[in-house]
Amino acid sequence: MKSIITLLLFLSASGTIFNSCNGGTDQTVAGPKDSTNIKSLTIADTNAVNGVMPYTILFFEQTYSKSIPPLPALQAYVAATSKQGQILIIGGRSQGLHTFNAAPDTNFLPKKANNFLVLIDPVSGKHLLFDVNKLSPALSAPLQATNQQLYHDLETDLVYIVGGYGWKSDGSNMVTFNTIITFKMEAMVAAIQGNASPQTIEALCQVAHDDRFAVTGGEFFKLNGQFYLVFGQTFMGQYRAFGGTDFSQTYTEQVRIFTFVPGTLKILSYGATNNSNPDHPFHRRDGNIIPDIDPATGNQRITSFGGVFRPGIIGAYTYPVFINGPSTPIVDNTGNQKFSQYECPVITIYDSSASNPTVYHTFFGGIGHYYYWQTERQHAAFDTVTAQHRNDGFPFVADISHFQQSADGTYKEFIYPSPIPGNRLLGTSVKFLESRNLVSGGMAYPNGVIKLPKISSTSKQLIGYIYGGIEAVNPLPLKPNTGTFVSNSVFAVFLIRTPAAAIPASFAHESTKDTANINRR
Amino acid sequence: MSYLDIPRIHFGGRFFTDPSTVNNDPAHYDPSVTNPSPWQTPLGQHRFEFVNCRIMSVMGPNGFAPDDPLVGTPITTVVTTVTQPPGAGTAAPAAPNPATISPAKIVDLDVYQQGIPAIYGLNITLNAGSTAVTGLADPPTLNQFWTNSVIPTRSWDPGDYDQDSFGGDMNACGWFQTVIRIPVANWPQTSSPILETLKANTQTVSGQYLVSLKFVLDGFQNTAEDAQPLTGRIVGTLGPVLANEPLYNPGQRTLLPRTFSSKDPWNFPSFNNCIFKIDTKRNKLVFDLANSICRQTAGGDPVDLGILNVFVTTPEPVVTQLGSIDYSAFAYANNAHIAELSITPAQIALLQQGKVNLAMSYTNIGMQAVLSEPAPNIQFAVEIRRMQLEGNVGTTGTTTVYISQNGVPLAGKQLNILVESTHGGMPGVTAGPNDPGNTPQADGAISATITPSNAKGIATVSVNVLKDPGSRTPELDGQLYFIIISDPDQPVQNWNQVAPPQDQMISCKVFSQYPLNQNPQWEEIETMMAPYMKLYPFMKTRINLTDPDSFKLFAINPIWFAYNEPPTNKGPLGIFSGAIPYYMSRDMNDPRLMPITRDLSYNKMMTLMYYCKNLQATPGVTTNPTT
Repeated sequence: MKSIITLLLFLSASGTIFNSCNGGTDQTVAGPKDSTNIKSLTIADTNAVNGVMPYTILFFEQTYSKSIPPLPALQAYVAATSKQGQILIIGGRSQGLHTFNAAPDTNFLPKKANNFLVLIDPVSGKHLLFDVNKLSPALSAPLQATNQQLYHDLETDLVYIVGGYGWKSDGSNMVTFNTIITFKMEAMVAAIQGNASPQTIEALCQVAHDDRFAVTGGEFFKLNGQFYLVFGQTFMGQYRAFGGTDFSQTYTEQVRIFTFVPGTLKILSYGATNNSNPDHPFHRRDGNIIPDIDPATGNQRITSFGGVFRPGIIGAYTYPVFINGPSTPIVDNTGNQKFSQYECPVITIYDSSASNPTVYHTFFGGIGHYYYWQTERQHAAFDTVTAQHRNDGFPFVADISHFQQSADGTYKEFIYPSPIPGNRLLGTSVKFLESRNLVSGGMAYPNGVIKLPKISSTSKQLIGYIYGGIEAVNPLPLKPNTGTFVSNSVFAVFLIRTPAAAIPASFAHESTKDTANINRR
Repeated sequence: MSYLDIPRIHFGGRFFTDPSTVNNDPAHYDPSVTNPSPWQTPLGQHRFEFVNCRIMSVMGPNGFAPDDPLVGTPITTVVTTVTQPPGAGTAAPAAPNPATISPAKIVDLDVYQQGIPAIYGLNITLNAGSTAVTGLADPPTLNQFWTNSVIPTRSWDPGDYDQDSFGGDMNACGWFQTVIRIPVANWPQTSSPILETLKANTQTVSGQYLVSLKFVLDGFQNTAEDAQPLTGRIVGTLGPVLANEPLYNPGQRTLLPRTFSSKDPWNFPSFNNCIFKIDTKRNKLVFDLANSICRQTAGGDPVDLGILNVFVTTPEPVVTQLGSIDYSAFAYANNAHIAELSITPAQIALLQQGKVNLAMSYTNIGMQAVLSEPAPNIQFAVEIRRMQLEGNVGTTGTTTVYISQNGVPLAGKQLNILVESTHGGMPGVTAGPNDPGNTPQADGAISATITPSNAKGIATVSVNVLKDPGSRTPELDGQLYFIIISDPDQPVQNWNQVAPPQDQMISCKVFSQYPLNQNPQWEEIETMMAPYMKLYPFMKTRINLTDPDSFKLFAINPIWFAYNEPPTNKGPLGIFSGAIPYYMSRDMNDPRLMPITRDLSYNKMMTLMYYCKNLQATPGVTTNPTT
């Protein structure tokens, strides 16, 4: 296993990229001490090609004062960032990968639902909690759902939270909520900081119901004045991987586009875009649906990478879908992404100055059909599970990959020359939490895509954080329903416009698929 | 083509209508048929209303204006409130005009021509903040009607289609275009910049602002078992009326659908005519797709065509792709499926000499070019396509035809005109081959002429009554003619095999001659009213007009004060009382006019008025204003 050998070499030689910051203070984000070290980075992997990436991304795990209570461990939450940089976490759960048990078990444990609004200062690690169970059921239940969709409109400061899968307020069953909830971000942050009463918090929120909002595992955006609820599913009842009678599951297979009656949450104009392709390219949930830039035009768009499952098979989508507006999304079968088909942090950077303008997407771990870095122990476990015919073809990975598209329509994919520190199988079911300073400072487009020409080539730029997510012990569970937990790690992410090496994705290993005993939904 | 200009106001929602269809079968006009089958909604009242319609978006010179206060507000067809004029202070609100409270009425021209229903008494109200602006629409007539606007999930086998007794309405689609007339005094300053711009840019005629209105209807659910019975989907557009443009037709270039065959596979979608405009001021190519693309389901989303690309072919020939347009479901809801494509001045030059087509990216559902501009670039359309004439010799009716070439008025063009007497089974006639239609007496009863077009591209059609056309049955007054306009420079069509294009034909109903009787007896009135009581059952539930006592009561009562009419508003023969003479003497575009079907000839109506007048003059009769 070449990757394991090179890993050992790498770990000794290139530790400057990933650091656990032992010397972080309450006021300073941990990062590289000296940018010159980055320039002289040693490339340990012989498959790596020097200079193929026009930038370097640096991930620094944060450690906080022991006097501060540890951050909660959460995944599948949604988040928004305040002007001052605090991160507000909503929903999600503290349970690792859900279990796959048959009735009457519950695979999404009620007590593992996150019932707090968590306001985090990622610099200090300090955080505040507000228990949403103090709110009325109309708010408390959807606010502690998992896999909601959130959009923070920076122009109005309104945070929109749509749908999500969670327990009904009476605890009787699970549903996909048909709710949309809004509040002003700054007002909510101030209220939590001021230890406001539940009545005050409640008064900040507006909630409405419409079955068209009943989506989980999709994403929610505003593009050119219209709202987009992209893909996802409606799941009613208890999650069952292997069939049953106590649930219904319907993928939306739609891009739902709408406007609101001004000043309300009532839908005004509405249209759903479907796709008649027999491949069902919209049959996606829990993938990476991100704000993006079309490198051919420089226009803002929405892009869907990955997502599961193709109808009737245990297969993820490997080709992207581009949404440029209400008109027909572009399904581009010429793009073939090997890594990170499940939701994970994605950093999007656009280089408009290149002769062939290119948009780069960096995927941080998660679950993918291909892998590169595995430790010997991880790979032994992988082999064991595969031999037991339990390999579903989608292991947890420690890889960081780049999937890029250029204006001429070509794609390339690379693997970062080092995995997540410690080869941790991290990143699943969380998003990249981008710094708002990038947009306000002109270093990013209004939708958050980073403008590479605006990034310094001599000093690092903090571009955001990665917090929490599912962490797996092994790529595939040695014993069903075990081996995952939720992380509370925080990584500060820096960017510097210094060329970096990367490994062509052609060196990646396809996860051996054995569907004999697999029927995961 | 004002509604394709800016400022443009897009609205959408649902419509309600409940036409009784007892009168849709020619056999029901046989006096021997005394218990006609009910068809659909036998107690329907022919009402037509907007339901939960709102302004979805507005477009100004800078594109969509989502912050305009008009966005999201209701657009209504029944007026229940009256805006106080400026300076009215705290005076009690004025009562709304009764004519604006009554819903509009949708009415066929004739049982043999059910394809061009018109809507009478359509009052449109826009709301901007606390200000309402109301105007009355000229009666619009259905246009570009097609019944295969939904992808067939069964088959195109005629037997299957016919078995679906209500499928025809569910799968049908068509549009109405007209102008709304808004008295200048009724349009105060509003908080809506779009409304103010519209007011400043539209034509004013006879103290009224004209506003262009076009709307598309589809997905009508016409049985009680439907989820939303008697409603369908509506999207529409309002815009300015510009000088020298037709009022009831687009008057722009048209794309024709690809060839349709009943032998096509089920999943090959059909298409219908598509209007487009080159907006040289804004460098935009503007398409109206709302009635042009097949739906996936009745009243549902457009079929998936992949990318819909716009091409122009210049004479060399050189094909140039101009870009793609948005035909999404959202575009249908948000902007009434009006799609814009930015173009350059150089592309405008290409468009002015070339032919446009729209081609889908999919290759597996038929020919990719789904809508194409025909080789002859002369467009013409009749402004008023339904006509009713009295059968007296010398009666003349006129309308106009707007002729254009490449979207520009064409002067000096002489079109052909042809009068066809109709019969069942004839293309364009809404009755089967076993229905006889016109009688031999109809032949030669009318003539028609058309002038060459003037500098504004307008040709005038004159229809002249030459003799008494007679009637088809004792209960089906008059005869029906198709007056077909055609281009002599194009191949001659056999109109007995092919239906004329809907906008190039006038349907003309000519009543039989009827002697005015100033002293009618009850039997004559009863005979006159009997068909209405049979074919319009709802009316019979209100006033049985064949019951002499009921008729007499309502012929005399109430005094018209009950309808808020001032004493100066007397009716025919000076009548000022009686519900029957009141409702039968309203204006043609008053929604309250009876009979709703608007098919009572003048002399019959006046005979009825004399009967009422004589009853009121009977010694000892007094009227009760509260009856």
